Amino acid sequence: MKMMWKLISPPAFNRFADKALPLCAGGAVLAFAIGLYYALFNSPPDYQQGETVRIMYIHVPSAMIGMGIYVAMAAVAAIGFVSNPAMADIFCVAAAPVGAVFVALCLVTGSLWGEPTWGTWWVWDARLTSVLILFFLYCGYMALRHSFDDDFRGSRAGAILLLVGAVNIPIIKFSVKWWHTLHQGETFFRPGGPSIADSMLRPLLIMALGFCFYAALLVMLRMKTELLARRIERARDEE
Amino acid sequence: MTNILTLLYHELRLQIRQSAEWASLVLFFIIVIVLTPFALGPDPAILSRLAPGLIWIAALLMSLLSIDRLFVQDARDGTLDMLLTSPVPLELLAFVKVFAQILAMLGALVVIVFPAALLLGLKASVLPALIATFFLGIPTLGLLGGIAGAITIGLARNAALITLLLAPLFIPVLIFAVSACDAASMGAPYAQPLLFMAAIEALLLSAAPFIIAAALRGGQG
Repeated sequence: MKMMWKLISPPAFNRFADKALPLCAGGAVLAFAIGLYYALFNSPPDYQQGETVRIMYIHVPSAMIGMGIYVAMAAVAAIGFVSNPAMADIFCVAAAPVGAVFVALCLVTGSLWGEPTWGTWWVWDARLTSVLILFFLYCGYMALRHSFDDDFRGSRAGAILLLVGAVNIPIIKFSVKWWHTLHQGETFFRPGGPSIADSMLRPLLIMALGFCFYAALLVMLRMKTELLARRIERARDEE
Repeated sequence: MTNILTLLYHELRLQIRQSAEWASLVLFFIIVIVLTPFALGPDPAILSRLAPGLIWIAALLMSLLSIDRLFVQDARDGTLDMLLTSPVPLELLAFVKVFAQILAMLGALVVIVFPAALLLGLKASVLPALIATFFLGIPTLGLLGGIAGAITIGLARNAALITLLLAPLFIPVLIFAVSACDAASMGAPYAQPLLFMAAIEALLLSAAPFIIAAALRGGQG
């Protein structure tokens, strides 16, 4: 906890990022190398879906990261209200496009996976629809945040939108379930343990770890860039 | 309390004075309804089945058009600065403003839903359900619109942005409203989706004034 409070000052964040970036890069490369080897060569094809099941090793981790980043943005925005709005804003501005791209990746891979297995590129199924809505929430945040020239006002408007969106996500998920569902149910988090074979779970978890490292890497790099960009802007204003 | 009533009276009078603008909004609603048979074909069975959804879409578009002027005019002519310095809590003032807008919107919709229902051949048995969904859904839409309007204040040309912010948040209400009307058209009980709409409305009624006030204060910083 104490470390987190330290991280919200830019110089401390920069020092932390300089140490963490190589670790994340190394972790991502390692996890992707091992994970992709298992995912592509050393895991069984599905007895119903055949080789297309390998799309899962990209699809599921990108969904996890895409949702995780939105939750993280909302949490950081909430913390920003009571601590350091500028630094919280830098995190959200840096993380939003990353999250949006992972959600887009999830939608695209899902579509590619749906065609051979369900026979359609897109269905208005509950999970697909709620991920699509999540994508629009990201788009809305980015569009709003970029329409402000003034960083302070923009950060406040953006933070409010993030919090309202985060409260709405459960309502959206529930209401969208109102329609019936084609997507398979929960696979990991359910009573009685995961229903996925170990030979498929292992590469999936390694890939998920790799995605986490990679997302952290991207977000930290973008945060450093954003900090520098704002410093340049301030220096220009002072001239 | 008298301050609040005065402001509500003032806001409602403003809405009535802007009757020309409301007339064009009403015409816009009717035009959207009139366009749909050309897009979907004049088959009465299809139109009657789709009518609740079409009417809701038209109402949504109509209220999106009316939202961007909710705070924009006040910000431009300085009324907002007066409200910000007022001894009455900004939360209450913001709520009264949005409430007046919601009342005007509901008043307009409850009248024009009848010609729209006629044009689309909506079943008479669905009409009470549809009007009930208006009373439970339009305030939610107005409050969400108030939030969107408050956080985009000071931005020129914010109408498209408001649509982008509002649409994802409004999807649940749309789903429940249309499923209530569908249940009514099949003669099934439709209290359940209405109760969900009421729950969302109650949540927003309690939270939205604070969010709007926070956004308005931030917009002045």
